[in-house]
Amino acid sequence: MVQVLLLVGIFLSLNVGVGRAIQTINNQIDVAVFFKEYVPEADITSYQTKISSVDNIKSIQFISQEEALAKYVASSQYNQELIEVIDGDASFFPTSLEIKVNNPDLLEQVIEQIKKQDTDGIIATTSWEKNQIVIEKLRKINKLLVLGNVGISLILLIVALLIIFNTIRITIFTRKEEIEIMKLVGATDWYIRWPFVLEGVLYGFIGALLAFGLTILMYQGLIWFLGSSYWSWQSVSKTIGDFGYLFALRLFVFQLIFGIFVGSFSSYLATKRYLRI
Amino acid sequence: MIQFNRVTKHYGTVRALDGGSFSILPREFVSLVGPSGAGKSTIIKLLTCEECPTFGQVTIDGKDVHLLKKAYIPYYRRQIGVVYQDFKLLQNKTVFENVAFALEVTGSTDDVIKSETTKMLELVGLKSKAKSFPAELSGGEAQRVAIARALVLHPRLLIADEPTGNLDPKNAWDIAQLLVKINRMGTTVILATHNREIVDGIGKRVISMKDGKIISDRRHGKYRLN
Repeated sequence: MVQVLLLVGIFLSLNVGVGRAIQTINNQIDVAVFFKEYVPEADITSYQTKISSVDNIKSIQFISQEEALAKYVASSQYNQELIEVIDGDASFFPTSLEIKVNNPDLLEQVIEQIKKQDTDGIIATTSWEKNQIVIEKLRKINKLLVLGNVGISLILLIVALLIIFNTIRITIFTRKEEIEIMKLVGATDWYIRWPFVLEGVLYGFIGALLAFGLTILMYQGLIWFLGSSYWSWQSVSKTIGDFGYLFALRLFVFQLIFGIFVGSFSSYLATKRYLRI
Repeated sequence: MIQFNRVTKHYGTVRALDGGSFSILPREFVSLVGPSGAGKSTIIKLLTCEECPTFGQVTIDGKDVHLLKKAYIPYYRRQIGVVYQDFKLLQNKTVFENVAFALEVTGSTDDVIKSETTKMLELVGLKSKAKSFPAELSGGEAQRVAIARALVLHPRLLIADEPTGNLDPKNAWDIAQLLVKINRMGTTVILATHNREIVDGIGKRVISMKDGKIISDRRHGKYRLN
């Protein structure tokens, strides 16, 4: 029971975690269009007006070389070496347009559209090329996780049902005589059944508590582990780190309901057989 | 009160009861006699709704027992007290708890349980053994506990299925006397047995059975098989 709820919990958290990561990445990155060197600002401005009519674009912001430098310096403030390498030379950075979209899922279409508008061939590259692989991988993982989660949850549900069913059946078997006598003196089915169903509920409840505790522990462990490596510190804190309380509460309620349902239902099934007298 | 109307019960190919018809009046004492396999236990199981007849009807107060809704069967059973040859006492409960058990099942209050249980133990003469466990009792005493449990719900009908089968003649006779006493107090009693001395000693109505058939039904009858 605990294992089952634990696994369901882990899959759920993973699922939500990856989903959030994708969302956050989609929202944060949007798309930046980088221009070739020496493209005059006037051309970029006219291009900007051309693409502003493309569907699904929320905003377009022009970033000059100087602004790009300033951003870089700001983001590298803890790593002086990186700043020293650039040595305040803005020509290291291309001018760019930062485009935000309304619906990140339709990012591909937007990029296609704005690339079509580039009749003069002034675009060097876009940030999409760089991030595409990551985003697509994440989306794939998410799909797999959703599928796997449903499949595994179903299997685990059946396993949990069987485990509790058998446990209760053994208990009932040892009390078979008592149940028979109860029936013969006129006990109703539910009078006999409810202690067993209650036992099942209790199993479910304890299972849910343990599974929830373990899920949270493992989750915290994961964050700590990811957080300790420098490359992902930001993304961890920004994505899976901040859905904490609400998600935990939901997970707990879900595990509780799931556990109690599985517990009571399997007990109900287990008692059915012995109440036929 | 009780009416068996051409009742037949098959277990696979075995005819445990073959077209049995008889009726029992309120407050009657009926001995059901015959060798093992004659159909006595089948009649009892049909009365307690443990089995359903293959053909025919079993009616109590004009109502067909086997047309009762499943949910109503527990309430029907509370009107019938049953005593078995093997006592069917719970070994891990005391004498008092075994009797109280039948009342607990019906959801009686603690006060009622205490007073009724004490009363019944007094009736069967076991008040002093209330705290004993079944394993500490003699066969006769255990059967008295079973009778007290059967009576504690004040049933209209008491069925005793070979109650003396495991007892020595002295204890068997005491149990028989107790059943007669209970009958005199107003409860209908059906006693299934193959104990000749007891049936003859009681001297009340006797229904004799053999191979699933009723072979005789006599008002002050004796145990006879032909």
